[in-house]
Amino acid sequence: MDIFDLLFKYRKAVNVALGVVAVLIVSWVIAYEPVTRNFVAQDALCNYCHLASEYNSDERLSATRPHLSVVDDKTSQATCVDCHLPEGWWNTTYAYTHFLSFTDLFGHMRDRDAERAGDWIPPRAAEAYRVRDAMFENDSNTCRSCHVEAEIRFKRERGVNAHKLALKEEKTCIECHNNLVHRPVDVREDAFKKASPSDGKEPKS
Amino acid sequence: MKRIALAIGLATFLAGPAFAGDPVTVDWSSVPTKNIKLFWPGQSTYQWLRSPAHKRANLQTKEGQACVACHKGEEEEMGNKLVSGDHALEPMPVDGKNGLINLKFQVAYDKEDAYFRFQWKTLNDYAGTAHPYWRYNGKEWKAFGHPKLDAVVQDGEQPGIYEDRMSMMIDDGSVPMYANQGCWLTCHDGERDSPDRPETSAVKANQLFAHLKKKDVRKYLPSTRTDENASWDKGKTPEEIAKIKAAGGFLDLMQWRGHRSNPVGMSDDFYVLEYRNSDAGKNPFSKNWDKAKKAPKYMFDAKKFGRKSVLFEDIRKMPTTLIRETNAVAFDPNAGWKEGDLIPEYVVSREDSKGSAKDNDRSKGVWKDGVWTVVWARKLGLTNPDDKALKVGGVYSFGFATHDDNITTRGHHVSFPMTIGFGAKADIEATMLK
Repeated sequence: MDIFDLLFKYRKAVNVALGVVAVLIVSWVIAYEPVTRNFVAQDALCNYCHLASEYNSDERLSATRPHLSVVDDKTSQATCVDCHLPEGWWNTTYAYTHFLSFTDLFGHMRDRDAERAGDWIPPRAAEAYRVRDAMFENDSNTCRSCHVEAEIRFKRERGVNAHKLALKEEKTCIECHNNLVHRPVDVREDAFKKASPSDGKEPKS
Repeated sequence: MKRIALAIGLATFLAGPAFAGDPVTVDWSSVPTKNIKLFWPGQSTYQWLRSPAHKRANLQTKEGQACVACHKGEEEEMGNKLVSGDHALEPMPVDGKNGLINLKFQVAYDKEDAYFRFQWKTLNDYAGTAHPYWRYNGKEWKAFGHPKLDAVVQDGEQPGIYEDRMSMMIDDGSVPMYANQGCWLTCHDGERDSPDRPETSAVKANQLFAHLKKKDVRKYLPSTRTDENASWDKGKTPEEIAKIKAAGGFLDLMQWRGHRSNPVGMSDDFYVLEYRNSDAGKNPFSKNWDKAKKAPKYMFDAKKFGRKSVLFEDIRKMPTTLIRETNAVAFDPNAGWKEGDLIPEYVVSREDSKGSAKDNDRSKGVWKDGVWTVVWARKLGLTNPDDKALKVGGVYSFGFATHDDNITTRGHHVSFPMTIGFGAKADIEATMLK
C-alpha cells in the first residue's frame, strides 16, 4: 500500500487535517500583524536591548510631555512600534528581522570613513542624523502615518502661524519637530538643506 | 495725589516755550493711531532663542526667521505666561506685574522733523517720575530705592523705585536680521538681569570691556562678537568694531525718561553696537556722586525748591528731579542732614547736554488719569555718525519698549519689530503734515 492509498483510506482525517492547517495558516496570516504589534513587539521587549533611559516611553529624557497616541487621552503614550514599525502585513516582518539584527546590524557599526577623516561623531548622534535625513527625504512619513496636516487642531496661535509658513515654504515636520522623544541630540548645522539645481555644478567663470 | 501728578505733568509740559517743530503743537487728531502690543519678554535672550529650549524654532531663528512668523498675535498670551513666573524664562517674577501694555502710537513728519506720540496706561496710579536716591542714614549717604528685578526689592530690603521710560530702537536696514528679530538681537546672556551674568572682575578683565572702561554687560549686536553664539566676552577688536560702525551697522536707541529727561523736555540718544553707547557729546543726565568725598555733588536749592532734600513720603507726590540750572546747588556736607533725607542719584541738565546726544531735545510727557502721553520730535536727515538719519522716502525698522512700574533692564514691555515709512509703504506709514 503506497502513500496515496493510505491518504485515500483516511481521506476524511486528511481533509480535516488540511482544513485545520488551512485555518491555522489563515489565522496566522490574519493575526500576524496585530499580534506582533500588540503582543510581541512591546516596549519591554525593545528595552531588552535598547536602553530604557534613552528609549523607554516612561523615561524619555527629552520629552516635556507624553507623545500621545490617542488625541485628548493624556494617559495614552505612543509605543516604540507606533513610529518604528510601519503599518502593513509585510512590514510586520521588519520586527522579526530587527530582532535578528538583520536590519540595523550594519547601521550600528562604526563609521570608519568618518573616523579616519577626523569627523567622528557618537553613534547615538549619527543614528539621529541618519533618521532625520531620511525623514527629511521622505517628507516625514513616520509622522504622517498618524498625523494628518488638515486635521491638526492647534492649541495656540503660534501653531497656526508656523504651519501656515511651513506649508508656504514647503517644509516638512522634522525640520521643526525634532528631539521630541528620545535622548536629545542637537540638530547638526547643515541639516535640512534642500538641494539646489546648482549643487555639484562648477560655477560659471 | 492724581491732581498733584497732573499738576506736575502740566507744569513740565508747559514749562518750555512753543517753538518750530514743537511736537506739542502738532494736530495729533489728524494722525492715525496704531495700537501696538508690548509684552513682557522675560529672559528671552539672543542665546536662548537659538538654543533647543526655543522649541521647534531655534534653527529657524538662527536662519533669521521673523519672530512674528510664529508669534504674530501671541503677545498677550506670551506676556502673561512669562510675567507669571510659570516659565523658565522668568526666574524673578515681580508681584502684580502685567504681561501686556497696549501702546497707542502715532507718527507724522514734515520737511524738517519726524514726530512721535505715545500713549500707554501705567500699572500704578502715579506717574513714574521717581528714581533712586541717596539716603542719609545718620552717618553716610547710601543708595536708596532699586528697580523691582533686584533681589533687595524682592526681599523687601529696599523699596522699588525707578523712572518710567519709553524707548525706540531704529535701523535703516544696515543691521542683519533686525527687521525680523528686532530688539532680540541686542539682549544677551551676561547682561544685567539676564542669565550667566559674569562677575564684575571678569568683565573688567575682558579685553573689549577694558578698552571700553565698562564693568557690566549691556546691549550689543552679534556682529561685534567673534563667535557664532555672540558671547559677551568674545568681542572683536576696536578697529573691527569701528569699521562696522562706519558702515552703519548699529542701532539707534533713544529713551524718554520720566525722571532723567522729561523734566527738561528731552529724551536721551544712545546707539547699540558693541555696547549700549551714548551718542557723542552729553546726555541730559549724569551721576550725582562725588567718589572722593563719598557724597552727592548737588543738593536741592532750598531758596528755589523750598527744601534741600526730600523724604520718602514726598516722592511721586511732587517733582523730585534735581535740575542743575533750575533747583540745584553744590552739596553742603554741613547742611544739618538728618536720617532719611533723600537727594536724587542723578542730576539733570538741558543746558549741559550737547552734541549728538542732545538730538532729542523736544520730548514732553504728561501723566493724566493713569496714562502717559509722550510727544517727541526728531530732526530728519541727521548727519551724526552715531545716528540713523530719518529721511523722507525712507523705510525704517522700529522696536518699541516701555519700562513701567519701577523697573529697568529687561523688565520692560517690548514690541516685535515693525517698519515705519516716511512717505513710503511700510507697516505704519507716517502722516505728512501740511
